Order: sequence, then C-alpha cells, then structure tokens
Amino acid sequence: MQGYESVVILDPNMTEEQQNQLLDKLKGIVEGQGGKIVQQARWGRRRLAYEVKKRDYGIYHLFYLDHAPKALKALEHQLRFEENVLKWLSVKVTDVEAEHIAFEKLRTQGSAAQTLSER
Amino acid sequence: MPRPKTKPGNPRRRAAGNRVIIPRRKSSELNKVDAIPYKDVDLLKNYLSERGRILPRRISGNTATTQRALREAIKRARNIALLSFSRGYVGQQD
Repeated sequence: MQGYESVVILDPNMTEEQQNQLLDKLKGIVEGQGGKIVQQARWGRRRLAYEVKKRDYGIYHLFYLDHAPKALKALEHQLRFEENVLKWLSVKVTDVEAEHIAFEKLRTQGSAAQTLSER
Repeated sequence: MPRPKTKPGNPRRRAAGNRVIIPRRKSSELNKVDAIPYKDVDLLKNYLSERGRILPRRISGNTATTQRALREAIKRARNIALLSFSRGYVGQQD
C-alpha cells in the first residue's frame, strides 16, 4: 500500500507522558483529515549528528500513514507549531507495511539498534 | 622519443611524477541491493569521506543508478540529523 513515512524528532527533555500526549494529538489531526496511521514506531533517544535548536539529542518517532495528502499536509502544518518537535521528515513510500517491517528489522538487528537508554 | 601516452580511462596508468596512483576501487555491494534505506546510518557511513562528503563513484564502485539512490538516502539522513553535513572542522565538538 502506497503511503508516507514521517520521522519526527521530539525534544529529549519531554517526559513519556508528554510524548504520548503529543503523539495522540498528532494522530487525531491525521485522522480528522481522513488519514490513517497504519503503523507507529518508536526509535528512541539518539544522538543528533548536529545540533538542532540547541539540542544534542532527540527522541525519534516514526509514523506510517496511508496515502492521504490532505492528512499529511495537516500533520506537517501542525508540526510547524509544535515547539517540542525539533525536526521532521516525510517521504513517500510505495509500500507502507514493507517499510515498517524493514525498519523493525533494522532497529532490532542493524546499526539503528544503537539507541541510548532513556535519560 | 615521444613520451608514452597515458591512457585516460585507466587511472592506474596515470603517471604523477614517479608515483603510480592506485585508487581504492571496490565493486560495491550496494549494487545488489534494491533500495537504500536512509535510516541505516552505518551502511551510509561506508560511502562518506572522513569529512562527511559523499565518495565519488570511481572510489565506491557504484553504478550510476545506485549512486543516485545513495545520494538521495544520504541527503535524507542528513536532513533528519542522522548524518552530519560536514564534520571535522576546527571547533566542532565531535
């Protein structure tokens, strides 16, 4: 299934609760515009390759959306206003499920496994 | 007697003074992969110089198609702070 993959980097100082709150909010925005979050994945706390908004670390989170351009636009619009979002990147993918599976594989076996423990 | 001509297509024959330049050429394993994941940082790092620049095809041994896909993957990774745009300049922390 064609769709989008969005990587969102959250502020490392957020609590678990704040993160979930924000993610739920974003999810609501996507669904409000007729989109659907097919999969979600937490990549975790990682060191940033360069400083972003004076932060050296970031909490990486992934959204896998179905092909709903309006929903993606709304999501990106909201991300601009979120102060706790350091950066994000959305890309089009030809197979959302396959991308998610590939990511899980990468996270558990590959180099992406090197996330730092919480705090 | 005329100087022996150097073959332009073969850098091994290119004479630079008395040195013979031997390029690091390898047939890239990426050529066999069908998609390059931009999230696989360790994979991408194999195709970057010490300063974080993308290695040219003549060194990496990528095909044109692969190199294009790699370029996109690296640029995406840079955008999302998985890779740096440049590193190793004076004053940089890591």
